This record gives sequence, structure tokens and C-alpha cells, in this order.
Amino acid sequence: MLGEFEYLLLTAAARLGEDAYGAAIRQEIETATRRSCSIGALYTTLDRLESKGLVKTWMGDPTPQRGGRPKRMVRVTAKGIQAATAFYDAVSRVSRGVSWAPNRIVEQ
Amino acid sequence: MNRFSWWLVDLVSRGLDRDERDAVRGDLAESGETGGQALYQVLGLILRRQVALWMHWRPWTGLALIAVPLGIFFCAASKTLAYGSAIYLWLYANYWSPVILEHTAYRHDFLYFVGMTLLHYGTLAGLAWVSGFALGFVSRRSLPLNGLLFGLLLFFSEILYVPDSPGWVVSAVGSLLRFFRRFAVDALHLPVYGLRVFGHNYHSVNAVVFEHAFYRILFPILVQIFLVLLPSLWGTRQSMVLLNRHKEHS
Repeated sequence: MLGEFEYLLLTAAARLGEDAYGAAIRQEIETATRRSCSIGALYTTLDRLESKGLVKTWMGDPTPQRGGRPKRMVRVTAKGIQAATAFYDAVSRVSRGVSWAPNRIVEQ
Repeated sequence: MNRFSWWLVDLVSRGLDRDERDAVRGDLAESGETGGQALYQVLGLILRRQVALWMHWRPWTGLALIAVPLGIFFCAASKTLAYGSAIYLWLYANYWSPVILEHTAYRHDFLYFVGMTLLHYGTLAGLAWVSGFALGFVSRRSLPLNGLLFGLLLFFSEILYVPDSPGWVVSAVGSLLRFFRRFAVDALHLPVYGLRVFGHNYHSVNAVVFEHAFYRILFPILVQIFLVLLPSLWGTRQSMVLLNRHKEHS
């Protein structure tokens, strides 16, 4: 089972697709959660996800706006998609019928 | 201030692997962070990396087998060497006479002192280089903490200096030193003249020498800096270069 931040990172990376890399994922998470995301949390979580085989990362090309430094590109693997889907399903199921969920009706 | 913060960011980010350092610095530049924010972010990442690293056995090995025992050993050995040679240094500095070079016996004693001191200093510096190399090799990523501990232990007795009883270092780590001494004195011929009187109220025996702050405080510190700290840093750097070269080729 994924952790909350792992799920956020996977979702942000999946949304960004080909443009998923450190700074872009961080921006995406901060926009979605309205909270700051530290680089330390981002990179250590990326390592953890990669060691679990949920993402694949590689060094991209350097760009001028980054001072000529390369990006750490990220791609969600099939296993990562499965894990994120399982997490989302679990959160959806456990949220049904509670006051903060959009659909409060408990399915019979 | 901002430029200084970015200089610090550059400095501390050397604690990261090269690829990660480049990616992180690029992310920080792209995000438009201030120097202070960037420094906070990089320190946070390094702290997390160090915490994760110390969950494994490797850095503890470097700590237990290299940083701590060798830090203590070099502290005692360098002080012993410094105090021992300080006596002769003081003697020759204060009572120098051309007769020393003219008279065969005096000349022999003087050349023996110079030769043995150079040999001992070279041995100490060589051991420090090897230790630094080993420390860098065994605990490359945990080097900031292990190196800091090694440095603190090396200068520990100088920071908490007790003027008349340098022997407390020996008594505190007596058994460890006896183990090292067997190799250091017998096998590597580190100076015995210092060790023999070590722990026997060393300073009062040679009070006339050690009443000078130079011989008592400054000279041992200089020996520790130039014969232990700098050679060990050089050795560590050499091991880093070797490891990085190996990493690039593999």
C-alpha cells in the first residue's frame, strides 16, 4: 500500500506525463495540496518509489533556465499505475458515506 | 547575503551525488528560490539522506573501525610525538652552538634527532593519509559525519586541554592504545622517548620546556594539523577521486 505522499507524487508524475521531472512534480504537488513540498521529501520519496519499481528516473538534458543543469526525469511504470489505482480505490471505498465525501450514500 | 547563501548551497550540496546535486541545483534555479530557501532545502535533503544512510551497517563500520579508534589513536600519537620532539627542539633552539656540528658525538646525536624526527613525522603523516583514504573508501556517503567525528576526536584533548596531565588520554583508552602501541612503537618505530614518560607527570619532568605555550599548546596543534589532519584530508580526497573515476567507468 502506498503512503499519502507517494500517491501524490505518482499522481503528479502521471499527470505531467513526458514533462515529469523534479521541479515540475514539486510545483504540481504544491498547487494541488496548497502546501509547500520540500526537495528532500520529493527526492527521497522518488528514490523509494524507484526502488519499489513504481517509477523509473533518468537524467535529462540540461536547459538554460536551469543554469545548464539537467533534470531528473520521471516516468510512472505499469506497476506504479497499479499501485496508485489500488490506493485511489481504497480511499474511495473507505470514504463512502462519510460527511466530507461528495457521495454520502452508502452502497448496499 | 544572497550570494553568500548560494555559495553555502554550492558547498553543502557537495554532500550529494553528482547527478542528484545537478538535478537539485537545477530545480532550485528553476523554482526561483532565494539563497536562504535553497540552503534550507538542500540541508533538508542531505539530512534525510544521512538519516537513511545510517540505517545501514556500512557507515557504522566506518565509524566503529576507522573514525573513532583512529581519531583517538592519532590524538594520542600526535601529541606524544609533538611533546617528545618539542623537548629536543627546545634544547637545540636554546643551546645551539657550532660545537654541535663540529664534535662527532654531538653531531651524531643531532643528526639522529633530525633523522628520527623526520622518519616519525613521515610515518605519522603516511598513516594519516592511509586512514583518510580508508575512511573515504569505506564510508563515502557518510563521510561528513564520520570525518567530523574523526576531526573532533583528533582535537578533543586540545579543546578540553588539561595542561599538566596529557596522560588522561592514555588512561581513558588504555587498552586500545596498548593494542595500537604494539604496532606503532615496535613495528613502525614511533618515538619511544615520548611514550616512556607519558603518564608519568610528563610536563613536570620537562617543566622548563612546557612552561612555554608554544611547546605546550601550539606545537602539538601544528603537528596535528600538518601531520594528521591535512594528510588524512588528502587521502580522503584521493579515495573520492578514485571512486568517482571507477563510478564513471562502470
